[in-house]
Amino acid sequence: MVNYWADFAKGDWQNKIDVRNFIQKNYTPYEGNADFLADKTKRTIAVWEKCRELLTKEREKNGVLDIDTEKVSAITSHAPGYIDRENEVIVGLQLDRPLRRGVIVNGGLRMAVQACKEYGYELAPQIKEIYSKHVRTHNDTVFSLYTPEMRKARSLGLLTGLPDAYGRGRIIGDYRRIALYGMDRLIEQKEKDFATLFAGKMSEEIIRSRDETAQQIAALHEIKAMAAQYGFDISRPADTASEAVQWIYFGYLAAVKEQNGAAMSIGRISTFIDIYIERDLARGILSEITAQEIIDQLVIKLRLVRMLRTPEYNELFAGDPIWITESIGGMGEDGRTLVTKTSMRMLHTLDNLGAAPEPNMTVLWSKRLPQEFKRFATAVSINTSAVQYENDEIMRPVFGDDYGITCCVSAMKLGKMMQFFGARANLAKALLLSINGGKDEKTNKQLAPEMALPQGEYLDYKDVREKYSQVLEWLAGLYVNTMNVIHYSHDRHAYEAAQMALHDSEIERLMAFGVAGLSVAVDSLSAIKYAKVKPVRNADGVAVDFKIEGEFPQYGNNDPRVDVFAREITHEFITALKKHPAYRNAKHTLSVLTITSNVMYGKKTGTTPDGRKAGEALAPGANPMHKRDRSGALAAMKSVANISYDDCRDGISYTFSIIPEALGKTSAVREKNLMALLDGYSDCNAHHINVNVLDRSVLEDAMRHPELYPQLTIRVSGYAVNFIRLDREHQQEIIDRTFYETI
Amino acid sequence: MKGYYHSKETFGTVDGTGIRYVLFLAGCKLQCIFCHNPDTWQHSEKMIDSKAVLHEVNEYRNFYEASGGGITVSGGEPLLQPDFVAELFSLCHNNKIDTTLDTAGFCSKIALLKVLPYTDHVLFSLKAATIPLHRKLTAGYSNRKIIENLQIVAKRKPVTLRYVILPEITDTQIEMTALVNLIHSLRAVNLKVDLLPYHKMGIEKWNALKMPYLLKDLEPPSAAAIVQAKNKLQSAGICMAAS
Ligand code: SF4
Repeated sequence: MVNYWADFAKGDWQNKIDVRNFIQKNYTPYEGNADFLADKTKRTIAVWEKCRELLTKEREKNGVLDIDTEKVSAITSHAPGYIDRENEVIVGLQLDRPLRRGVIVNGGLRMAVQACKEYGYELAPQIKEIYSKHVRTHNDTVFSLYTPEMRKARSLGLLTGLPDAYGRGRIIGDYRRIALYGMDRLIEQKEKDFATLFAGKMSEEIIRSRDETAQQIAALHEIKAMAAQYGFDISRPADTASEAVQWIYFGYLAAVKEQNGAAMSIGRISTFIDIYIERDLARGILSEITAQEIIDQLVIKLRLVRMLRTPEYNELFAGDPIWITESIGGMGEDGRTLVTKTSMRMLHTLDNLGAAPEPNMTVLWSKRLPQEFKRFATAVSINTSAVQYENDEIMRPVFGDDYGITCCVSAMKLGKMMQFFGARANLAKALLLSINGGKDEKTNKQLAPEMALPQGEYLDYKDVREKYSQVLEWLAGLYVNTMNVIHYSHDRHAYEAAQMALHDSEIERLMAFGVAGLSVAVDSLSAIKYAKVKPVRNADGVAVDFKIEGEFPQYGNNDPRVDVFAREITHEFITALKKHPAYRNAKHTLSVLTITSNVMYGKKTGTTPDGRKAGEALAPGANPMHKRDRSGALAAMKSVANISYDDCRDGISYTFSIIPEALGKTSAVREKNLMALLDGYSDCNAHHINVNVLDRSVLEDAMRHPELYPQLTIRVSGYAVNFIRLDREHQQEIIDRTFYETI
Repeated sequence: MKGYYHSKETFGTVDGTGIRYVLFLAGCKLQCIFCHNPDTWQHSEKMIDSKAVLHEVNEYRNFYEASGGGITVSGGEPLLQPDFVAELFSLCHNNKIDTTLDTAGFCSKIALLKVLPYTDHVLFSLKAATIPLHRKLTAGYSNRKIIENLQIVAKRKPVTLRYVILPEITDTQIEMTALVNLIHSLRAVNLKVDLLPYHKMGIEKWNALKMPYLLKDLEPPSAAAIVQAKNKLQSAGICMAAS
């Protein structure tokens, strides 16, 4: 029998499923520079050229190249597909052709029909028939369970972007397990868990766990069958680096064939893969060139992942993102860095293939990362604006050293945690409710429980603040209940069997709540407290405008008088959320993250006391409102860093844009200064930062001549987008943001 | 104590090494005809306390330290307020903050000697090496005193000598030779030259102040002109600042 684990250091990982232990025993930290990196191979060039042609065609066809309307996508639904078979080193497509999108209907039939229609297709009648007559979908169930209050909060834009009409995503299968153990071992383990963990007294909970584990086992068999279609036997562990990557990719592929999830991250694979590459290099069966080729070709595959999404979805999350987040680097608990040569190879794909939003390159930053790696990462970042950074120093103590980022900023222990994604509540709108006696400012309808209007001609801070607390208390209860309903239904109709099969059977669950409009709420409170704000009310008593007299401190200038509100409100809100038990005993977490939905939330929010007009976009994530951060980049960073990660364990997103000249005169100086910015930011216990280094004029030119900028990438809120794939409204919103440009 | 200031910048990346807090003091008598901050010549009543500056620097010191940066006091001409700068820099030194002085050296020797002990690095802007050109580029002043001050600074502190290339004005054969000779005569401990291409970004400010901008027809130097000037200095054994 072949020993697939030959040359690996022995450890606990051999006796139980424990990828972290395998990594710790076997990886080789790398502290050197990037000189070893190789260019793309002829084969990679050939494959990528084909893809670029297809991507151009896709763009010309309004963003969607093709849809299979006849067959519902599942793990083994489609025959194998190739781009350029003889040059592909890593194989596997979601459907039988590249960039063809599949329909996944268990989330909701209406959405699938609409999405097809949007791009000029018609969903096959037999599919419509099955899902309208014989199969209940997630969407059907959620809407039958919603209370009138939930519906109202949703339609008026207080709770928005809820995963009730699309796959919740955010679950990361530990795809590395397939490479390390092979499918048979994973199936064996699940069968054992089925028989021992979920046995005995058949309570509802045990029965459900049995049911889910059975679904997981079936999914594992299917993944094996899918790989067999491509001619690979993944029942056994991977024998080479190329197999390891292929095995991982098959796992990921199964997930995106089965789930139309909002965020489908890949985890933290680089350093794991590095172990296999090192082994093959030592065996003399791989060179640096072929090692890079494997990584480049994996990345090409990831860049082609597509989901079929509705116009409503695109309005929330613009730019067709999948969030194939790959977490790179970080430090180990033992003090060694988790950076390996493959961490650099992964980032180097941005040089070899050019900038792109996917995979969502996420560097887990620590001051202690090897200097050369920091230099390289910042150089790539400056050249491509495609890298984001998250503070390993504050996440590691909570999640250990084998966590991955899902979506944008949300950390989870790989294979040990899952989460129920909860979109976000609009804090700016909530503040208006407390000024308007609980009435929605756009429709004059009663939304929150009725309460007295604040007294006096001018808004009194204490009065409004108390009422705001009442609204937040009420909102927290409504929010948790809504989420419970959604995830009950999602588990029932769109359970992520393939991804959950790559988790331990007993897992920790998180419920990831979120807020939008934080900076608007905060500045509004500041205006009420430090200036004089007079509401202009309509006949229903709803404030349709505010007259502001005097100045007030604004969030984003490192001014404690106002920054304290951001800290206070997030703390208050997560505390209120925790009072309401979450579905399946999930732990409540909170994010300050909007993705691009800040534009849509803004549309649904009336004029606010900070001077923002009705309909104007909110600031993204935890960013200060556009152009109000007048005290420079560091002051804005300090304001953001002031929000506590202890309260916002699901992440705090900040997007930073600067023109190259403002970062320093030469590229060496720019790299050094960006490294220092990230070190300083990390020292302040800040959590996340997107870094864009470009001129506003480049973006303006790209709006005029999109054809000249096919790969122009920009980080928005927790992810990157291909700029020219955004609609004009989202493009303009990005251009309007603060670009630090003092020199 | 308090000083007259024009503005401050917490994220300065072009006035000294690393990321720096840059305090622009108000007041300057030299009146260079290519000055890009003529709004700093006169001071208003706007003042800042040295302790307040220190407090603010400390607020961002994570960033400054990580970058090998610190504080830069610029202007205007900071050495017109030597007591304030000396106090500020000594406070910074007590707090282990790196200090850079950005000066044109147009001040008394006493003023300079007050500040120098607390200064880690000097950015010294020399407008012209010959007296006639210096008179032409400023409000008629000779550079004699400035060069004496440069000699003092260069013997004691690391200096980046900043020299603006105005095409065919400051980079002529005569001027460049005078510059080389001057630098050779300095017996500097550590001197590097930073050639700054002339730019027109100050013109708006001149217009706003309703002052005639004499160089409005002068175009910025070509990249080749900069390289040529650089080569001239380097071939004379002079070190260039890394940029
Ligand atoms: S010394 Fe500097 S501030 Fe003073 S006039 Fe000359 S360029 Fe302007």
